[in-house]
Amino acid sequence: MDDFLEQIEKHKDAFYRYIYCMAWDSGVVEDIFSSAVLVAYQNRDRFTPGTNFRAWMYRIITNKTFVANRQTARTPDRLEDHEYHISEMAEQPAYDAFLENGEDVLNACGDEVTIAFRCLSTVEKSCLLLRAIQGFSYKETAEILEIPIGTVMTHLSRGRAKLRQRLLKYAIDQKIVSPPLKTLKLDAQDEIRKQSDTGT
Amino acid sequence: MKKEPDREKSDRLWSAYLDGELSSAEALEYDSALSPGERERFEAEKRFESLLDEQLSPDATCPDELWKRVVAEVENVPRQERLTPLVFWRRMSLGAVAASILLLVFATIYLRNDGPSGESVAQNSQYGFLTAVPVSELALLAEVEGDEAAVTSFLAERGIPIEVLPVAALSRPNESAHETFFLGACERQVGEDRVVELMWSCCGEPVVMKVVVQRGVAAGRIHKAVENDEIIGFRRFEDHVVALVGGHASSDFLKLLQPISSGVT
Repeated sequence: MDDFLEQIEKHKDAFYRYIYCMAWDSGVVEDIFSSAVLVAYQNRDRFTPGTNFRAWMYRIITNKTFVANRQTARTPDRLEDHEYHISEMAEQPAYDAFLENGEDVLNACGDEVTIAFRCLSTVEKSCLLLRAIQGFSYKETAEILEIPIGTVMTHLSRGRAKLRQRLLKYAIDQKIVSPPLKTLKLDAQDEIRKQSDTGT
Repeated sequence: MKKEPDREKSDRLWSAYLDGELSSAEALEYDSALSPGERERFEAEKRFESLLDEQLSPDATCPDELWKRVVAEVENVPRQERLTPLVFWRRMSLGAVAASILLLVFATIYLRNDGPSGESVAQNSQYGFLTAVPVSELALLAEVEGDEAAVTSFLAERGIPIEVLPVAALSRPNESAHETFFLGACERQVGEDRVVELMWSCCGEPVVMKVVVQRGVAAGRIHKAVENDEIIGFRRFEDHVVALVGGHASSDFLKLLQPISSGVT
């Protein structure tokens, strides 16, 4: 195996996971992965040594995933088109309890977390995955997606707000948290009550 | 912290602070503006974000068989031929012949096309916002992806009473020759104006409609661009103007917009 393939091999699981999260149809994940590696290999002379290899690969993978998604007849459900704002979330009932009991809430939400993520727009998903999970900076994310940094910031905050909104709604519907400040976890509930009583 | 009127700006700052993307001076300023309650909530948000990231990282790993198959496939790809001067000039002459044939074919197709004559393929305009970016970038910009009904609602929410019809409504005689997708819509700020962009891919080329309010600066620029023949087409609605730009010279796309009220002129 040559050096180029060895570099890909080092990150192959992360690349695979990214495609796995981004593809609309799970049946094409392997196809996207292999065609992305093939394209990267055929164009390896275009990669400038010393620059960010992972970012270069993610650009190819993102384009391949986009093309594959366009070719599939299946489109994912979308979250409602309403614009959510992080700065509005705090005004919602039970949001403090939702945050404070994050671990329990997310465990109780189970697959709903993945379902909510899949309902985000392609670019929101890409920004969240590249920034939050793959650890790219805003600048690198913008370069990979070939969009301005300001757009990355907008999609990140929108994606985060949409995810929180959907999970909060699910948590309330499923009575995982209840407005005003009542949660399934009693010790946390007491703690929150104390904070509420002291007005913090 | 004092609430900013612009929630989007506030959200962007919040995200950048959460991600440690503000400069030290900006972070200090942001941090010092937080009340103790807000700081506490911010810490809770940070913990929540990190838990959420963990949940969103699937356990999936690249299967060994897949990797072996990919390596075998890649290693069978013939290495690229080194370009000696002889090979280079041989390729150049073959390329020139191929280009001439293609030019002839495209010229024939273009002349036989029953679309309006005199249209220019306007990929660029003196006004930056009237330039279409490549299809792959368009798709990433879409805030609402290729669903006409959802985009019609997106427009309605912005006070634009226009319905977006499915591509099939074009009913072009040589439809099978076109591979057309509706990519979706996004909104952006151009100077003082909000511009909603409707985006299609046709034969791999970008087709973009820019929807702006009738009396704005952006509308004035569109009219100028029309005068200078810099865009493919435009259409006036009651309170809005739509400019069609891109790499596919078919003003037919404007037929995909239908006024919801009886306001088309």
